[in-house]
Amino acid sequence: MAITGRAVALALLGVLVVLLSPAPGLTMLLVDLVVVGLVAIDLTLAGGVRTLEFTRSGPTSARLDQPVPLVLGIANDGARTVHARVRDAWPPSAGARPRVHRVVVPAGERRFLETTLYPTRRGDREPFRITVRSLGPLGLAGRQGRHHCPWRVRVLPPFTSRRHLPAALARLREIEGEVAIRGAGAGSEFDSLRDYVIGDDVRLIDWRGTARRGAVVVRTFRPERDRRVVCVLDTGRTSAGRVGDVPRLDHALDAALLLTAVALRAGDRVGLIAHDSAPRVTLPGSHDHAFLARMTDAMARLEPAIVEADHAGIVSTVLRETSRRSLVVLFTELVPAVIEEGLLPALGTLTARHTVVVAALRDPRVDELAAGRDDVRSVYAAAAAEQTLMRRRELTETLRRHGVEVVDAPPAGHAAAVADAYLTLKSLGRL
Amino acid sequence: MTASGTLAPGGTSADGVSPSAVRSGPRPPAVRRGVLVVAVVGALLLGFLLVTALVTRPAGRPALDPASAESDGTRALAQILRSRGVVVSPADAVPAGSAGQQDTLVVVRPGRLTHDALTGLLGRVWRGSDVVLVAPGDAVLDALDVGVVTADRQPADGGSDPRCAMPEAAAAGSVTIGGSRAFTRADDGDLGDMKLTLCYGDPPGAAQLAVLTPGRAAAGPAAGRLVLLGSADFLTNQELAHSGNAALALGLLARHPTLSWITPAADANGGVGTRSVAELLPAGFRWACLQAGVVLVLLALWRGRRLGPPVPEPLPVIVRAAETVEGRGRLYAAAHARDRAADALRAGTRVRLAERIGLPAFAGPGGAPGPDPVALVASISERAGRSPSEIGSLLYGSGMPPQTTGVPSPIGRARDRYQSRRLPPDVSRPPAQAADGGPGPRRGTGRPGERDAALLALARALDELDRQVGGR
Repeated sequence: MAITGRAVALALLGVLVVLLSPAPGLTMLLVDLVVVGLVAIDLTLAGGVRTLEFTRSGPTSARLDQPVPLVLGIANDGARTVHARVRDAWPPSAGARPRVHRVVVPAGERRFLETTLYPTRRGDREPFRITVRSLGPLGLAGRQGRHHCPWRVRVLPPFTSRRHLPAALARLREIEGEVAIRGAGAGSEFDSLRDYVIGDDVRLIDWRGTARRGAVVVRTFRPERDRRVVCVLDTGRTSAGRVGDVPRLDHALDAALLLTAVALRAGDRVGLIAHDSAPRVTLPGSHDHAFLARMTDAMARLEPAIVEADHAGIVSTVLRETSRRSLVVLFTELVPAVIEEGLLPALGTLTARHTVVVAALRDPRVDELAAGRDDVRSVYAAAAAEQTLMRRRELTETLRRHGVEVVDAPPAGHAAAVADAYLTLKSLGRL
Repeated sequence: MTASGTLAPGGTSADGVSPSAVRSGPRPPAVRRGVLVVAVVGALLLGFLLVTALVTRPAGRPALDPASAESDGTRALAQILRSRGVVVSPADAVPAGSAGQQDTLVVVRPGRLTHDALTGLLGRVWRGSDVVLVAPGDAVLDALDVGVVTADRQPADGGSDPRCAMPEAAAAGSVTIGGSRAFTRADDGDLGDMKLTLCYGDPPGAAQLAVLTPGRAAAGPAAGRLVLLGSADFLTNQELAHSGNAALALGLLARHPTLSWITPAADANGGVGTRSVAELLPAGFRWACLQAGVVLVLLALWRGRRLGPPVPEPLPVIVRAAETVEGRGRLYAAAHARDRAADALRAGTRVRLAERIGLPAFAGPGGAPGPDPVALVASISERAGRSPSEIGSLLYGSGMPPQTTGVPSPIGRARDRYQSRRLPPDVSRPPAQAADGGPGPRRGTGRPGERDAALLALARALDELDRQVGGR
């Protein structure tokens, strides 16, 4: 049960009555008896909470920046009308609004409440509990009870880098030679034969075909298709650090999604591995276009783990999951602890079998610090930032010497830079 | 209505739900509530001031003051008594009487007298004085212990007739004695050898005038008496002329040549009738407080009963990626690690400049960090138009060590220190000069603040060089 402000106001009125009464003790007793009696009557006449039935409907997944409209249905199977306050409680990061609904459900009828979620984080969100307070006709007191009505909304990564997709696909078509521009498509895989036109490279003439056909034909090439791309996400402690207001991991997810979208369009197989001290997610390669949705779904529940990533483990997982030569895009952080102690010792076996790209996120805050000249403290901070940047340069250099491509871009261009690196490698036929 | 308001007319039509950035709709609830609170508090304050102004009397003479000509004063009575040859002297304490002296004592607020003073007054009665107590309460009557108590009930009517055999009362006839206090004889009271006469009101149940005379000298003119007045209203200027008021007053007060009009001071300690604040409050107050306690409990129950518990949620760690960098910067500042900071700034500038002019940023067989010093200095000095020694000292510190890394080794630092000792001009150069663009001293001998200023100057000098080379 629960009392309302009206009951308190009634008792407060009683204070005045008692103060002015000639027989205050008796009056007080009477006043309180009246209050208790009215509350008891109200409780008795209030509609039952247990006889309510709840149902839910609405979407089960949404991208991070989209509101999720959910409908909560209340059916009243009891004998009395229920004047209820309903709190459909969700975790704070689900951003459920409104917090409390007021609804009147006559006996035997059904009403629908609309709760809209404005999620602030990726991941699965489940409702906690539905609390109902059914007030009596006097509005002095009410019965309170709870219901459970399970649901799950999966909040997917926002994929904000979708806006880079048209540009990347345009570049892909250019590489594939599908657009009417100067020059043939890049690549080394044989595509087709066509008639020779003046200006074609004579080295491309296919003599055997020319002999068969009686006219001069040239070979055309296209970029290799059906290559393999593996996105490897380091979900260790370094991925938890926030750049802007978003963890590094979310930037990496965004970039991985763009890369996957482009690679799937280019006809390549894409796989996903998320790993910190143990493999978190492993999606085998696929060139199915629905793979992007599956990957988004798998990414929704990834969280940075506050452990040191096991790079030897990452490398062995990648080797285990890939049978053919692949492009391994490793989303990690360029700090000495990660690269020198973790990755470099294990890198040899990886680069021997695969093409490796390390995609790191450059923190604009460090650049900002490095430019600080306001006072002595900011100059010290600038020195620390310079040192950090210096270390990054050295590590980049070290990795390049090991034959690893390094993408080091600020958040605004990170996803596009990774997609560009992929397209460049593809056009060079290095996949 | 502003232009922005006309652009967003939905502010009022959307039931106030839509979060609108334009401030044209109804005022937010917080503001409305604040205005309401201020208005309520203001109204309460105004009401309090009004009531206070109406209730408080203007400062003047108290009621029943023999010098007061107000309607509730007794100046008329005092004048009449004086014209009858009675000496009326106001006092604020019971005057000490001599042994044989017989006088009249009027005590206006007997509750303010102490127990001893009241007993003393009783003694004066036995010695022949008249003592008139105006509206004595139960406390006073208990202290006197004369077998008289205040009556439980009020007299039936105004009580204008004497209804007793007392000569003065009979002579006066009906009076407007009034008042809410009446006396009766205590059920088990011992009159203490005194004779009780109850007059006016509804004797013997509720009399407004009680006269006690010492038993042995009944009705003798020399005998004293104790007069208890239910009210002294009939003595006031306003009432004295009505009915037989004046006659009764003279009969009661004019028997002796001297009269002391005693109004005990309000702050007198130990008065039998002095009541504490708690006793002065109305009877219902304590119960009302108790009821207020009940209200508090209900309030707690109302506010304490929440609509479901808070929802638990495992939260991610929130740590900025650049936090370690900032922390290291603060550590440098705290330790005044100028060597290290200057090395880092120089190394960063060197790599940036090398990248800009096209030198390999990482020269050397093993990819040694930093570009080739000789080529860099030569190239930069050519582009910036400054002397190679100046550029060298700016980019590599004094003495231009053959190889300075971003992280100087202890040996390197020792060597730096040694070399800077051998180069006095660098050390003795004042910071002001260094700020002009020259190479800042890396290790001064001044206070930390000065040497930090030199670091700032170095950073600005490096920026200047950066601009010169970059601004082709």
